[in-house]
Amino acid sequence: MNRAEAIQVENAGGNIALRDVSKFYGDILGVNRINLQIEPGITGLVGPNGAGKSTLMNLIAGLIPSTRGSIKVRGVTPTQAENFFRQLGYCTQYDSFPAGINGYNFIRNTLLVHGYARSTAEALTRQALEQVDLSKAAYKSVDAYSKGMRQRIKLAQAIFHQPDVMILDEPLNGLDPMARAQVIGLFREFADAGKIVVISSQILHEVDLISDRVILLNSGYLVAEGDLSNIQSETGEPMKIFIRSKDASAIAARVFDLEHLVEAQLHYDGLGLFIRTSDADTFFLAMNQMVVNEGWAIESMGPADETVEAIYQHLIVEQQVAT
Amino acid sequence: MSTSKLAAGFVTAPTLTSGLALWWRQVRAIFRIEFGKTLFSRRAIACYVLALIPVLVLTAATIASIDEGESVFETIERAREIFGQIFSTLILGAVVFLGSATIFTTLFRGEILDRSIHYYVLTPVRREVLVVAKYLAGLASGVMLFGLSTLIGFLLLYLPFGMDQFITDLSNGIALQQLGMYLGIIVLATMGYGSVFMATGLLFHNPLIPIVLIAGWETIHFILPPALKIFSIIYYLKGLLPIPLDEGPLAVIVAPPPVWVSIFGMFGLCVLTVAGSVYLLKRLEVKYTDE
Repeated sequence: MNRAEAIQVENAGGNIALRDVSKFYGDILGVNRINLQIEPGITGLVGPNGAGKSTLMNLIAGLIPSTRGSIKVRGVTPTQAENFFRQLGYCTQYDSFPAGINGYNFIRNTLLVHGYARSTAEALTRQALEQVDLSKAAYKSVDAYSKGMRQRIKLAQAIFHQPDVMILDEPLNGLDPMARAQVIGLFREFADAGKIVVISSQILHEVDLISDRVILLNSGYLVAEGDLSNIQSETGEPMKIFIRSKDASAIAARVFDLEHLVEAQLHYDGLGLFIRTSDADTFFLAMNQMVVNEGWAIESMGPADETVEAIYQHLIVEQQVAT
Repeated sequence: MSTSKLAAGFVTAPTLTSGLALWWRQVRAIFRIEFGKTLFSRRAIACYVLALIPVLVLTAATIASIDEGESVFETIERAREIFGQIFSTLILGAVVFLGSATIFTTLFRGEILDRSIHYYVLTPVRREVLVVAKYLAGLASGVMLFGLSTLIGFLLLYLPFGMDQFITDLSNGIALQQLGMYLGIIVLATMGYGSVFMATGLLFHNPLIPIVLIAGWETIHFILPPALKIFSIIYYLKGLLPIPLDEGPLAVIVAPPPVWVSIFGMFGLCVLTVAGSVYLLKRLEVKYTDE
């Protein structure tokens, strides 16, 4: 997004808008000149360790002020704490809690600090604990919780006041596969309800599974953002396509004639074909024509590298190797 | 684990309206949490020990008096003078000073060290409300502990002189007047030191060095020239003591400040430093050092 677009978005005040945001810790760069708009839905934040993911999340959540630039969440800045934190919930990476507190009191006390009446705070506490499946362990000390339970109580603390914007730093850490699936389902419900959910994760296939859009960061810089197919097409890399067909060998023989074909490789079972092409649109047109002419039976055909992992590999790992 | 699972009885969080009623609810909630933490956590042990010291000293004197058949303080007037000394040096100079340092520096710094300050920072609470509520909780617990210590100490003073002397002093008002003044000084001292130490806890990563420096300044205040004395808290507090103190041959003697100057001075200091704490909290970066 360019600066003019960023200003337009910021003024609209509907989403998360970052304009020219930089953060330096002394001489050390946290993030630099980030222009970004995050819309309702699930946005995955991806990058290697030290890329600036947590810094960016802390900036959006107002835990740290930016060195330069402006941040607005639905038109409100973090300095307007009273309005800002009503619409934002943040599950931080910090695995620490007030000493000696139990899960129920942790959630209820925080809701009371928000200003809810006692009965409302208690009802919302029970509801949030149920949402994260912690009702049975509610009165156990948080110190005695497992890693997964602590993660879930942090999640409850981020969602208990039903914010429109949720910033979740590695929210799936420590969760068992069943809990991961349940939490992912919960995020999807929030997104479907028109909320903004920003999730960072090191586990790329999970980001792939969850996210409507991704933001790629590396060394404090925004590398790419948007939906996966847009990012893939903007990279300029040949697209990898997988065709599943019993006529795979015949297709392989014919596609070698296409000018924009970079590579064709038969699947080991002989019933599939990997294609790499520098012009996907032209390839699909030509392929459609050939299918009609030759009468091939195509079971499926689609991009094989429109995944966060593939984009991450190309935009971050390969760049790092190159430098 | 979903909202739809709960759809039938789903509780929607009501919209909170800004204003005095909301701020008051938030102050009460924070006050209750912090008051509990200050008095009933491991952090509180040091304050209990400090508050117990004058009680133990005066208990020892009382036991000695009972053994000897008469008060070690000889007369009640002498006993009041000695209590004045104990109050000014031990209670004000050590118990209230160190107790306030313990309570108030940890109000924010303790949570930064525990890595839990972000839970407060992420709540929709005006920073002014958060600071004032925490300060009031610290003040209430400090006044309760140090006031109780002073009260028990004062009552122990009368034990060797018998109930008759106590009733006489109560009826002629001298006991209540002096006790009231001591307790009033405790309130002002906790207010003044507390506000300074709360700001210290927000300003310094390690508040120990500034506490030692302030302690040094307060200790040597009696030999300071008048122009510098006015920058020590104890100078204003000593001006309120019911019995004037002999501060020794090295003391630079100056007239005590008028009572209203002492009282309003403490209030002024308190307002200024609490406002400073609000400013510091607004600029606070929640970034635990090794992450």
